Amino acid sequence: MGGAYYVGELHHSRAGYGLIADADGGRAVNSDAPEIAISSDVLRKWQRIVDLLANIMHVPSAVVCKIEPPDYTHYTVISSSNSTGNPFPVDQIFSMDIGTFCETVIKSREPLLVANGLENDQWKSAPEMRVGMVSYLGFPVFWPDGRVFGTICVLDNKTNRYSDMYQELLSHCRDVLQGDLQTLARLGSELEEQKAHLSELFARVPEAIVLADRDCRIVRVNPEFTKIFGYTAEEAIGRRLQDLIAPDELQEEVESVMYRMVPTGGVFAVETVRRHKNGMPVPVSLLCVPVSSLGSGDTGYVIYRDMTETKRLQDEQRRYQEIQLELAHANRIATIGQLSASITHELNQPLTGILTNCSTGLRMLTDDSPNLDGAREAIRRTMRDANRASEVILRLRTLYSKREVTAELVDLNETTREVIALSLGELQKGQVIVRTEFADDLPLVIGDRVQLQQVVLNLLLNALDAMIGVNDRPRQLVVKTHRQEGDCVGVSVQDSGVGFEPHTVDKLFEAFYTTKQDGMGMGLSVSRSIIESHHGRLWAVPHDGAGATFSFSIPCRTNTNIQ
Amino acid sequence: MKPLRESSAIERSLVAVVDDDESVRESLPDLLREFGFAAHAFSSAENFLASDSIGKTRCLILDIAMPGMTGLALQRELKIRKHKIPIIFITAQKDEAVRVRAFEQGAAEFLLKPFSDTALLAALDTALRSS
Ligand SMILES: Nc1ncnc2c1ncn2[C@@H]1O[C@H](COP(=O)(O)OP(=O)(O)OP(=O)(O)O)[C@@H](O)[C@H]1O
Ligand SMILES: [Mg+2]
Repeated sequence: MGGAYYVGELHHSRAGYGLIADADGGRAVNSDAPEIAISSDVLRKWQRIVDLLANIMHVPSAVVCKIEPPDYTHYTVISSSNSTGNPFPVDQIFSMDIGTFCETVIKSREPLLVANGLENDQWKSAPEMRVGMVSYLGFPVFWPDGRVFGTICVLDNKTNRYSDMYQELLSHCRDVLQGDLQTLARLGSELEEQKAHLSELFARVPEAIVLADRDCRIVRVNPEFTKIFGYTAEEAIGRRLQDLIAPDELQEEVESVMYRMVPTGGVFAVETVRRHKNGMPVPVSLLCVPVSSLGSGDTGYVIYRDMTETKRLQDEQRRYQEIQLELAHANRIATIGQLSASITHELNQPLTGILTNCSTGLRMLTDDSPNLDGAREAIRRTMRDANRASEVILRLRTLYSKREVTAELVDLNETTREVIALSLGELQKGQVIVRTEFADDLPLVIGDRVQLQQVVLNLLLNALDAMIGVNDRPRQLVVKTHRQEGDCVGVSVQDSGVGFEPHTVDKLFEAFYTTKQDGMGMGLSVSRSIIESHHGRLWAVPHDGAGATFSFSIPCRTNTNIQ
Repeated sequence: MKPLRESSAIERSLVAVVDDDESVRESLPDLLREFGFAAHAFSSAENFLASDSIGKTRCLILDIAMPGMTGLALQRELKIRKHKIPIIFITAQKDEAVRVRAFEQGAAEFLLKPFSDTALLAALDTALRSS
């Protein structure tokens, strides 16, 4: 591109210059574009270039200048050759209205060659003349977007026409500079993009984020912080975390959390409570992320998740469980209602014995010749029957009483036997043949005996209901207990009833699902929640032939609490 | 027991008790003997049907709800076999339908458990007179 550019004198026209490619006369265009810093690496490289230029071209001065945004009223020398007689030190500033060579190049966006300014009216009073630099060759340097970055130029203290080769060399150096600017601009925009992403994240995460410094002072907060704690960014920045959002009794905790961030450098989480501007406590789960860039003086980010809603859900869950327990109790009572007939039966049997034995005994004693042996035997039987009656009452009371859930050692054989005894009347009335197969080495389980009885009772009554309509085969009920692998104990209730379609199996366990006219549909659902609270499983299998088997199993050596 | 009672027992009317409940089976025969009857207890309807007492029984005290053959079924079975034994039903369950059914099938008396000795005596009186 040797002689292709304008060489010669240039008219200085203020209106004509544009610092930017799409100049609209306003210098402010792009002035708010972020300033890209020239890294020290690049500056070192440019220093070598100007040094080489001065050396090769035998001139006292080779310089790179940079026009300074945002107002472009002056430019600065940013690289200057280390050569004898160079009058321009790095960082020297030139105003843009004193008519220097570089000012002209910047304004015209064109290269400029002045062989000897003293021989030219336009240049003889240029500021360079005063420091003895009479000749000039300079090129404008552009940013990739077309804005003028500044100039690269050489100056001589004598007439110098700068051969085509030198012009080409300088032009080539200008290209190198522009290549560097391109790289810087690209890195810069990538950085900007990342910053933008980070800002977006900062603005949009549903958690409050605080950047804090070593003194726990707030450096930066995101909008969510204001939502959760009530303080605007202006109110928060500069305040100490413990002063702003710590409840009085947790001052020390806040500090210790912050101090823990400094040495560890690792991320950690804390569940705690902070205070809203209005004084209300805010349950939070906070995540502490120490920052590695130590130079900034920032200790790290604290991310607060508002747990109010989660806590509310947990409370709701707890309440739901309470209701379930209430229901279990209600269900127990309802079942007892159903059972009352059977209980009457259970009580009336021993009462009959008592009354009959007493009559017999009385008669034997009041006879003309009293039969003492017979009376003694009758009284012994009376006592036995009375005990039997009181056992029934005791069983009834345990079933009725609404107690806290307890964890005790339970023998499922005994529990199951009791429930069968209690429902025997009902089962007999339904012409059900009951067979039991109890494992005799059954380990104890930890659980709530009454609740487990409730489950067995529900299963028995369901089995009974399932067999009531069956007339073409024996109504057979087999209740088994067994030890299972994995330290579990199981109970199964097998009937020869109507069974169910395999695909409806999940429905059966839903609350309020019932196929019975007077059913509530609570039995299995309550039973399942009881078994699950014992960390066990309750399931059903329809038989290939008639009937179904309902079974549960619970671990026998669990120390975990029953909720 | 005294020999006098034992010898005269041969002449006494036999009352059979059929009930699956053990305390009834143990206590009722003693009372019946105190009343002056001979008594024999059976734990199920099937056992009673299989026994040779069936022909000698003057009165049957019969439980309603039993596993296997129920009281009402035994009543029908006896009718089929043309045994005209008067039956006093005893039951722990108050169930009007069952009571009506029992009387329709020809029951002599129907007692709710627990019952007093006088009620039983009155029922036996009714039953034995009906035969
Ligand atoms: N052993 C069984 N065989 C066949 N179907 C069964 C059996 N047990 C339960 N089911 C089916 O599951 C349904 C739900 O049972 P669940 O015990 O939960 O309620 P329910 O017995 O209908 O009413 P409630 O809970 O008031 O006793 C029953 O209505 C029945 O259709
Ligand atoms: Mg049920």
